[in-house]
Amino acid sequence: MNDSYGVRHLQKHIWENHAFSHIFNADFLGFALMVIAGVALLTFVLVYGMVAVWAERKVAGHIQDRLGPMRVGWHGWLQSLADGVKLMLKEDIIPTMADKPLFILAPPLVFLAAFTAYAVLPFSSRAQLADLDIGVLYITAVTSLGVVGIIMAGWASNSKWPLYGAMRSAALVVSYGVPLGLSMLPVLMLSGSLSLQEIVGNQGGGILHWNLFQAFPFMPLAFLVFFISSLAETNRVPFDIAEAESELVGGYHTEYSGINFSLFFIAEYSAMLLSCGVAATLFLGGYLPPAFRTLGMMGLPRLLAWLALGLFLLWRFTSFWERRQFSEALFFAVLTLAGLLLWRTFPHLFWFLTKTGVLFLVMLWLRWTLPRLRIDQMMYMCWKVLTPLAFVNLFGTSLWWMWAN
Amino acid sequence: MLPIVLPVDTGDLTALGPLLAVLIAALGVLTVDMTFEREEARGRWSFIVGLVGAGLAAGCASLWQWEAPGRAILGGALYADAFSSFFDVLLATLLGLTLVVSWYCLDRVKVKPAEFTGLAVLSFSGMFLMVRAADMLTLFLAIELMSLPVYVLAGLSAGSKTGREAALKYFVLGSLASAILLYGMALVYGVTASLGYTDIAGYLATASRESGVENPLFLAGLALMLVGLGFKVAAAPFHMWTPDVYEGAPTPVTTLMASGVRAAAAAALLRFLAGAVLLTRGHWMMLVWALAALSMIAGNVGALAQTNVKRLLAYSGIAHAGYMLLGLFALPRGAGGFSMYVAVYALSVLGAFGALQWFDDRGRETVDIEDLAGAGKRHPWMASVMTVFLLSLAGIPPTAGFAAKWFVFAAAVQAGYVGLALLGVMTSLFGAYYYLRVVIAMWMDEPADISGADQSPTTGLVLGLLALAVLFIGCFPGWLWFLADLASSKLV
Amino acid sequence: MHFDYLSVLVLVALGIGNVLFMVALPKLLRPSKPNPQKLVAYECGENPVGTSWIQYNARFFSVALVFVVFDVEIVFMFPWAVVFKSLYKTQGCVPFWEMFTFVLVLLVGLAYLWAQGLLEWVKSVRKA
Repeated sequence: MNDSYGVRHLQKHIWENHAFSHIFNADFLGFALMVIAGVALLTFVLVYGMVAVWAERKVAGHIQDRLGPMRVGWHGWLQSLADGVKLMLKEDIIPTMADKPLFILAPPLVFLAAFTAYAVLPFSSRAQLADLDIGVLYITAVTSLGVVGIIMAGWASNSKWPLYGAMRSAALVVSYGVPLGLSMLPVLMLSGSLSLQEIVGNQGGGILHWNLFQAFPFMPLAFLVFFISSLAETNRVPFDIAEAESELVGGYHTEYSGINFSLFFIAEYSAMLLSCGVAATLFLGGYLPPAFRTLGMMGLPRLLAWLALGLFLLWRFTSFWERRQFSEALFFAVLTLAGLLLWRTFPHLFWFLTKTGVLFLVMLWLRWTLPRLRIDQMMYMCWKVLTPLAFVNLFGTSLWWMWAN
Repeated sequence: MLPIVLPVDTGDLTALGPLLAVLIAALGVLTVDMTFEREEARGRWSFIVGLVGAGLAAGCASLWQWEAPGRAILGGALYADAFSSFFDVLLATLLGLTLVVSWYCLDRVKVKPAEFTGLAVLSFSGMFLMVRAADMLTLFLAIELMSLPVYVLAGLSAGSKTGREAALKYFVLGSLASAILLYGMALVYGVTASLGYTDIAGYLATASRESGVENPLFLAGLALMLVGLGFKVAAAPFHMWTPDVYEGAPTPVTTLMASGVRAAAAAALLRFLAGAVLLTRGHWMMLVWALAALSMIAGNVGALAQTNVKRLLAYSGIAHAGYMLLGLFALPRGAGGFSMYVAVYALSVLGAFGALQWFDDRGRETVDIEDLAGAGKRHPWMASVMTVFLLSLAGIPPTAGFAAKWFVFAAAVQAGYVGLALLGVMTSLFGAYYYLRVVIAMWMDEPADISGADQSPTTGLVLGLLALAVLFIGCFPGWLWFLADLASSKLV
Repeated sequence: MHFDYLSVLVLVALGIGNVLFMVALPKLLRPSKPNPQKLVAYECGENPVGTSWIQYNARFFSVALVFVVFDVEIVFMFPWAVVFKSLYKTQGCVPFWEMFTFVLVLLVGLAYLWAQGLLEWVKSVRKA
């Protein structure tokens, strides 16, 4: 080392450039903002979890021509809150035969695995807790910890149903991890980055630049593989053999009660939203708007879109009005207004939540439409359909790209 | 639109020929195994593919210009030189012979031929990689590629409890040895900051003794590596697994373990020691000295009490590991002796196990010396062949074993290691006793009461030719010595 | 960069804090009246026989092994996919063929598993 760089210089260098100095010194504000953002994210996930449970029950009800929860609050919108309070007041039962430490550790682990992955999810170009340059890898790594928690829960319960559920879940999640990873590769190839911000940034310029519409027909196929695999990864119908109520009582969380049980629920719904968010980010342009004006047709499609939206709203309101469903009309109006407000103030957030929400609704829709698959059918689907398809896709995309260049 | 550009230049590709031939053959066997409907066709075609692979490998290897200087290829991961070609030819021969002599015995030990062939060829592709490894990572990769199929092979015999026991034992101990080897590599890498053999040698040549050869970390790393490699060549005191595994595994697999695996491991050991560290002549040579002496003693003493031929040959193999190591003390001349010894030993032991399989009665393996009693009266030709192989292992003229021992011992004496050479001579005299016990049982004892099996004449013919070759090398060892010396003397 | 990882750490800490809070708060509110019957593992009302920590079907292990092979493969392919475009400018199709060869070897393995019936879940249906 040069003489002019003595120990004091080194100390100063460390103090100025090391992360800790940011916390305690120069960038205390930044750290505080970080904590606030983290708390906001936590609140979002928890509130969202409650809304999602309610939404699921409402959607289920209406798909089956019922009403769903109606008692607590207007159209049962406080149902989840009531359930939450109830679960908190319930006794926490730990079976005598159980492996106690593992039994207690499992639900927090499942929850954390789903929750910490949100750190890199880009809600907008700025609303992202951490833009890691290995974002995709981080999400894959963290979410795959969830299955460890599930196996832990199933094994620690020392009961037959949870063990069945956990083993099935392990086989399922582990198997579908392969097509899931493989279907991400074409996206990484086209973006040339693992950072989610850069992946989104690469899809700028309108709907035709979304990864979904690249390299036809390979990217749509990759999206399909990804979506199906993420259904399996989150143990959703038609891949919900891990908790199959009708055959395994409750699967890996049979023995859980009270707040521990609700942690599994929150974890499941956060994992769902996460995989929808990742799908939207990787394939549907993330928080970027579809941007009709860049299509070059000088606003004609835009005009048509506005017209369609106006007509739709008019139709809904008149029909509500005629049927004297004032509360529905009010709900609809508030929703529309809130959406418009969000769109005008935080367009990125609006588009991200819209895309994610649509995918989420598709997930709910699938749950109440499709029957549960048998485990052999799932294994067939994974290893003999999705995995080869994903390989074909990968090399198809790379060949397409090399051919195009 | 998409020109097929090969990722390596064609010069490298020719040097890789034997390795690629065997690797492609391994994939070919897998493909055959999943394409054909009938078990029989699968077995036959996989056998053919394996043999073709071995033949191509031997062909590619013999195309090598032996006088050409060696060079590193693929970014310094592999060597292309006469040494690898020498061992390519040897390994290809061993692969072909293993397949041929085992072929008719696989049914008896309830091993599916296609699976045996596939795993054997895969294991051999690891060996081909091993003899040309030019850095420690490639060496480790090759060792694993070689060992994993063999672990499976050891337990492949359906319903055999001893086979399963052997496989588990081999797997657990083998993984432990790999871990130790890897740890040693890490320490050596930590000291020398390089993975390539040439770079390690370069560092040791320039560094001071304290930071190089005498560095305790380096010595510890080297010792750990010697443990790992010593396990693979079954040198004492890391030999404990050998008798049990050789005995428990089905004989075709034992054939492969005793010949191919040992030959490749010995070649890798020689290349690493000679190429990377041997020139330093540090105190660590004591370790190799101890390995050699202990192997010679433990192997020969252990073999004395055996009544099971497979166990007997396992102990004899341990002794032979000791004789091989003698060659390391007299470089560069000893390197040729070492290589020659490896080749001769591998061929002889393969022949001995092959003949043992040939004697198999229907549905049961020949394992005990008693089973061979009177073999000379029932099958005089095959008994003669077996006798030749056993004499070669014992090192009695005019067989190849004698010639190989001669070169190794002579080199050691010339280099001044008279004590060790004397120990070698004494123990091999001592060892001749147990080989002769088998020979005596075959020729002098009354035939055991077993019905004659329908042995394959083809296998017999191949074994007979191999025995002739062993005799031929014994009478005219010069050409093999010339090749081995040409291949190995440039290693240092 | 450090800052980004720090915020991940903060999020993890917040998550743990939240879990602790969610587990601790109900402790003050909920009843705790255990009895032996309540603490028995649930088997639809029957008394459970024996422990459930038993040997499990071996096919789960074969699935796990296959998974490990392919997951490691995918880990190798991640960096390759990321630098694919920039490599094309300097080295052309070479990286493609390299990865293709690598994957091909493993695909032969997958095909072998398929042909050997290791991907079948229901073994009894398979004809030997």
